[in-house]
Amino acid sequence: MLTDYLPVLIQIGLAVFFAVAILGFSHLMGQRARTNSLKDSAYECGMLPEGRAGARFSVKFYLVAMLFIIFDIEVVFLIPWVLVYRDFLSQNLPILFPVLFFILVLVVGLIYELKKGVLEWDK
Amino acid sequence: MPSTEELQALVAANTWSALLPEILLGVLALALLAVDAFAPRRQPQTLLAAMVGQAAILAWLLFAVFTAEAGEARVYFAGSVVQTALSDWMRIFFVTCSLFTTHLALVYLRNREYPRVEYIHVSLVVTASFMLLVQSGNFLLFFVALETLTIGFYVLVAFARTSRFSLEAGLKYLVMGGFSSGILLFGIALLYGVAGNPLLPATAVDPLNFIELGAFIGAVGIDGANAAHPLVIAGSLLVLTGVLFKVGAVPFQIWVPDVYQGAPTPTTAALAVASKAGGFFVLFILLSGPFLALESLLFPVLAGVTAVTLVFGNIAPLGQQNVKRIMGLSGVAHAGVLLLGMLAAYQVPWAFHAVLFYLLVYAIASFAVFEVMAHLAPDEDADQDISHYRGLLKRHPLLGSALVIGLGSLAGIPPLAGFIAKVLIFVAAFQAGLYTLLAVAILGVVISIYYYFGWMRAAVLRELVDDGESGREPLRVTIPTKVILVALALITVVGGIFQAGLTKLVGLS
Repeated sequence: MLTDYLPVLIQIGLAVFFAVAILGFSHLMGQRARTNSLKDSAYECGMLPEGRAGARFSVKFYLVAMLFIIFDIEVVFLIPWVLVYRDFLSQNLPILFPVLFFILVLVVGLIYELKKGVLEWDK
Repeated sequence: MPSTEELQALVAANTWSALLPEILLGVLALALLAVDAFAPRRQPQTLLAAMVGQAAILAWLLFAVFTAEAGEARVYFAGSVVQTALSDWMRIFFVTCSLFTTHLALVYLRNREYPRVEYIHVSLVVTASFMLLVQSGNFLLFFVALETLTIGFYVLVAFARTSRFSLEAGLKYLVMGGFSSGILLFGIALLYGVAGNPLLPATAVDPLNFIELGAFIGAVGIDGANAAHPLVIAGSLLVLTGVLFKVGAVPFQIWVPDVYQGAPTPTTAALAVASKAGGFFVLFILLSGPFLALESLLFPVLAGVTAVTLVFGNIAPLGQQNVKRIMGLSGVAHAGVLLLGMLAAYQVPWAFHAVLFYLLVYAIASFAVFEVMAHLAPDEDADQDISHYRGLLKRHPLLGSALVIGLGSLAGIPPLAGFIAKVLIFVAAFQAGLYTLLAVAILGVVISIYYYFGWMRAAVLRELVDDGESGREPLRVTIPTKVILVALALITVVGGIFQAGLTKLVGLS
């Protein structure tokens, strides 16, 4: 039972060991860098850094990202569906219409988005 | 891969007609989006159709309940969906809440530049999820329904996207809600794992099923009872945490004031009424089903939660001037009283019906108050101060009296329904022998009168101060709103004197 998980334990041990070892050795043996406020500031080709580091993105990027996720999830559902499609059909189990309904719901959402102009980039 | 016979049995158990009201709500929600996308000019008709559609579903559910023969629980979808007489009433409760929320949303969105149909769409999806939640017979449907409605609420809370308060509320609710969902899911996973362990007695074949999980937790083997297994204890406590977050019990109440204040008023109403009712019904399903054998563990935990919830919920609103925060924090106190009823239900069988009666009365009174709040809200919906209510009774007698009756019922003043609801729960607690908690609860009610009356005093006694600010234009109250307010106030007053109709509704006779 528990011994099956021994490789996992070894893996965790190795990971912790390497992390501690690398940080520890570079701390002990590496050269200490000289720091001051000028050295720590961001290097902008000699210019003084201006503005905020966090730039704001247009909301359109997020909408496209959401669309991507929706279709991604659709694919996640459709791949196992394709794999069992023949088996289900041969055993006379309903498989086509439940999935068509699922796709219908997605398509209604997609049409709604198209009509609302989500994909018109320069609007 | 299950065998053909098993698959065919599963398919045969898919009685979609049993879930037709929920499916129709979903179809209505989708149709609203589609119609609005193609005919945006027809928005008034679309919104009217949304109301009529919900009313039709409500009428159908009512008809189905009154013509149904009392009988056993109906089990569909291989144990995923369990319909009982109580869950049927909860479905009606949620559709009714949805109608009120829709009406509140129409009032709220009247002068605001936010999408209207989309709000109703999300609200309908949330309602359908609530209806599925109270019928869930296994953790899978339970979690999916809970997540669907929680995600819907994230959208509804942050709906006023130009308001900083609404965005703050949305972010806080998202982070806290995501955290609590994670805790709940972790608890479910622990229970699933331990109930499927073949080394323990009465291993469940389908550990997510409530009945099988209950049988597993109740089983006693050679090495001791399953209920004492550390994973069962940890899992059940984590699941309970997730549910207590939903009802806003202390110590999981931290999100309540900010989210209630920042969310648009209709969302606040839905959170206060539907979310709380859903949480308590789910708590009942869990405590009376899979966690029945864990009474000796969960009773002290819940008793502690009840005590601190009652104390916090009644002390926290004392210094508040914002009425939405008062509604949120006093909602914590109501959660405490309801938890007291849940504890009493361990000993007294009718106590849960008293809880349902309390939820019903609380919903009616709350919606009356929220209707008034929606009408008095300034442009920044989060800034609803007690001072805005000065002289309301003279300024608009109907709104003023509806507010007074609603608040009186929430405070539990004798001739109103809220008083009877509190008395029923207190009697149940007395019969169950919960004397200490009962004393705390009664003390809490006394304190709660202070902040409810402070609000009422502003509306009744204080004169209207004409300081030229905060919009003194006449209030626009449409005829349907008047009908709703009069009906809610009437039910509250009549329900305080003559309860036969209301108590019969929740199976309490």
